Amino acid sequence: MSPQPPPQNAAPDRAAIAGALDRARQAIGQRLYDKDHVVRLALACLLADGHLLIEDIPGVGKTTLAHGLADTLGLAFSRIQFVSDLLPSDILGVSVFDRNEAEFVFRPGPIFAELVLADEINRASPRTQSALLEAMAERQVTIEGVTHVLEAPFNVLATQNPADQNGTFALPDSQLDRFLMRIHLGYPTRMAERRLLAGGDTRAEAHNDRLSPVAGPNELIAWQQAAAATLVRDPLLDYLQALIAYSRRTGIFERGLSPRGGLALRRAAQAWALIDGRDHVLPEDVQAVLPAVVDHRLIRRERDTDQPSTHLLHSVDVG
Amino acid sequence: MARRRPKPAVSTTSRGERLALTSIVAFIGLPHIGHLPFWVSLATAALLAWNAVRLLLGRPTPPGLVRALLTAAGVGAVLMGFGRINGQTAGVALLMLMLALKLTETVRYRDVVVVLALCCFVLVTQFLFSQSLGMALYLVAGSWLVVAAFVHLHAGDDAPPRAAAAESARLLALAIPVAAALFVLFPRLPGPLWGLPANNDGTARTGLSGTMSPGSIADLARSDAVAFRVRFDGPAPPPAARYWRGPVLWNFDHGTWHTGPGVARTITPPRVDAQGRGVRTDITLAPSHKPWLIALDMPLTTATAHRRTAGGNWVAPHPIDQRVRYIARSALHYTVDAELAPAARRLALALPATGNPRARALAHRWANHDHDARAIVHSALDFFRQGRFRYTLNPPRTSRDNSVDDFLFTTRAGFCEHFAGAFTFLMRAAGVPARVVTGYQGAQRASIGDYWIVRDSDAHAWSEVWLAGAGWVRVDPTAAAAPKRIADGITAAVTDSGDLPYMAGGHDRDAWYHARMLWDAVDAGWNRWFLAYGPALQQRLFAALGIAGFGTAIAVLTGLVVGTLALVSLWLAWHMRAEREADPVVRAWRRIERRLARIGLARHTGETPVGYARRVAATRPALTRQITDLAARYARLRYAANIESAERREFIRRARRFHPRRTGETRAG
Repeated sequence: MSPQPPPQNAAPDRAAIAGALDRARQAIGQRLYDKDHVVRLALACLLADGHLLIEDIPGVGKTTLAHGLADTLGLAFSRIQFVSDLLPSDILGVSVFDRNEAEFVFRPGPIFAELVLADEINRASPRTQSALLEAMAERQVTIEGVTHVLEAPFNVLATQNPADQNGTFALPDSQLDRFLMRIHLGYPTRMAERRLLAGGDTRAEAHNDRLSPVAGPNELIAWQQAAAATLVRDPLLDYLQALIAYSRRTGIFERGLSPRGGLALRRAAQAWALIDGRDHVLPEDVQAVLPAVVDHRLIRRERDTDQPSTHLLHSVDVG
Repeated sequence: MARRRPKPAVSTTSRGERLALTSIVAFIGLPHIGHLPFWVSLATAALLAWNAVRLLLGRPTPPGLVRALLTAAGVGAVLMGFGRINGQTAGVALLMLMLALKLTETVRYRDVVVVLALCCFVLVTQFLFSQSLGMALYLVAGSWLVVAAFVHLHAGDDAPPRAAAAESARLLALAIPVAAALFVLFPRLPGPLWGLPANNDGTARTGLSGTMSPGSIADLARSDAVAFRVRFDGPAPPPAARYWRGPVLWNFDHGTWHTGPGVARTITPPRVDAQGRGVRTDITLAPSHKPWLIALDMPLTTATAHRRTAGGNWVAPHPIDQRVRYIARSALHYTVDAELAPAARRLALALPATGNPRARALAHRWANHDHDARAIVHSALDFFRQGRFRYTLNPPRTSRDNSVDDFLFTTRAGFCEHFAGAFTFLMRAAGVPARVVTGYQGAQRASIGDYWIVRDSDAHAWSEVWLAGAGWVRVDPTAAAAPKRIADGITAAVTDSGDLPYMAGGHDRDAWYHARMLWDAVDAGWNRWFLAYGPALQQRLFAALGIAGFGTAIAVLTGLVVGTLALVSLWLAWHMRAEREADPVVRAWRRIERRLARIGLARHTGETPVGYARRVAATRPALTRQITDLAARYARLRYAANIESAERREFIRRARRFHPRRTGETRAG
């Protein structure tokens, strides 16, 4: 395959983009200590125009991360707390009869935002979950025959609590594929914990003192285009294909990577390269995003301590 | 005490690796303890132990002067001990000493390669001393270790000991067909290998010597070493017919019988008329360093390349230094030399002018009483039968010049050589042509497998007398004095069977006996199917393939080997070409990887160029600047857009100049 066609307009100033992204990372880092790698992954996910699944126990900063991203990128933010009796219309919106106009008007639900935090999605019923997932995939909502487009940028941050299984509906494996990345925040480091304990509640700060934005929705769209235009040369395509082929061939996974999974890997790697300000993708970029992109897509047949990505990294040679 | 960081030395081995190498050398050299003089083994073991202790304590390589002095001392000691530094034993002694010394200075890749190559050579030298199955298995284990060490040496971290061992086993398994083909086809030269002097250090098995003096066969009978193994084509002959013919002794001199010089010139080989169906035997003879080809009495033919002596036994053109297998046909009923040539008669009646007067007198008495040779023979046998002779492994000593008199009239105790010698003397003194035949009598049936074992303890001597009308007739005076010797074997016959070796029998067949028999069956198979495949069998195989003559065989084989190698090379070249990278930039990078792999820094699977460079820099700081630059350039050339050809050329130029091994040496620290 030939390299990506160069962008029609003047090439975007990658150094400037990288600089702005760097400021965003630093700003979020003021709230979420020592989690730069995860923050960078989350940014890459948005730059790749993908949806992000954060799987972690409560209280490690999922909301802080969501707020940080929305603030620094200047995005319209909405949050949906998923509970067991949440209905699809609670997310998507409803048509109500307007007496004055004497017609049905659409009242958009919370999904009509630029960055949507879907908190604890495993607590809602499968029916509600699939309403969200459909909207995520289609980027549009159809209510009573009328289709409402979810304007770009539109990205969902869903959280799922793996420890809390009582009365919940964990997302089926097939649905996990719709998330470009799955990340874990994990406990803070020792230093970060100390800073946290000494410094007070970050949530209060987050509410009272919003982070100043480094960009807005239009910039994000431009950056997403820039990310998609990052050069992927043949040797790198070879490497991507080798990874995908190996995941299908090796036999240690239930299923190999889907074509969507392969595309996700390419897009994520491109976004990762953009954060470095580079105009081409290196194998290092692929390897950096590999765990977040493939670990929730590949299921090992037999229990093993190694993550699927670790196995791929050590089994597939760089071309 | 603050330890200084060791300076980064490129392509060195770790202490553990050097210890392992020392162990491998010890392992493959171990069997030489039985082959080399004691002082050589001791010196080698001391050097190895010194090296191991030095490594364990983390002491540095001994100074060059010490090593030079030790080397000179080693060469000097071998020269003094053997009078030479080449030849089989001296050469191997020198090899072992120098190998042990080489270990003390073995640090770098190059030295390890030398040591391992020498190890391969030591493995081969073991076969100069022993070709037993046990040794073969031991050396397979040794080869496995050496190849595993080679694998580890070349693959470095990518082949930890376990993986290297597995790879080594795989490679050895792959080599089996090649080894089998070479085994069958590689031209075998008759005679000692590579013109090395024959083994002269007394480790050889003693067999029938071609001379017989009082006590010589009794000495032989104390060994239960296998003289030969035999398969009968059809039923085995009865015990009384199990005489195995070896050298025939014509001359008697000062108490010793010997084959005699010039017998072959004066007497022609005998004419043998066989009666009845012969017996076909398949014999695997152990090396005896004598040319005798033992066969069942009376041998008719053995393999064609051999010569028949005047005594009717067969000899090979060379001493038998390697195991040999042959088919021999024998007649149980026969007439040999119905007419006796005058020269043969003269020789068969010759006696020294003086000595043994009482025996001569006794013989003359018989001869005067009876003119018939048959009656004389019977008189003599009666004499042995009734004379209360003791059959013993430990006969009293007899004098040199009157040995027959001493035995017949004083000691009256002896082993078969006494009986056969005295009987033959008496016959000649009485005017009956007679000669001594040495060989073996009896055979032990193997408990596993359809073959029979004849041991040194079955060594025997008997007489043949020439009777008009009947030719040469076997007479066994031992059978007259001790009838059980022939009927029940030596154990029942001798008065001191406790002196007999274990496998000669005379005890209950316990587990140890059966274990020895089981091993004998394995060993017999090994000898029959592997070791006995010598030049003669190979030439027959070649002849069957239509390749006649040794020269033709070598020419054909050389052609085959060269042709095969050429084909393999072409095939490899073609494949390498197919796999060869089209992009010179990638080729240059692969060359960098290969050079780094040679110093134990192979790129891991999945490692990116830049990540690889980081690891190389961390391990070998001296390379940091170069490898970081090269990896960054390579990553750019491979993954970024719009590369100018000048940049590609610059990378290839720099890559060519990258010599990690030299860099490490010249810029260490």
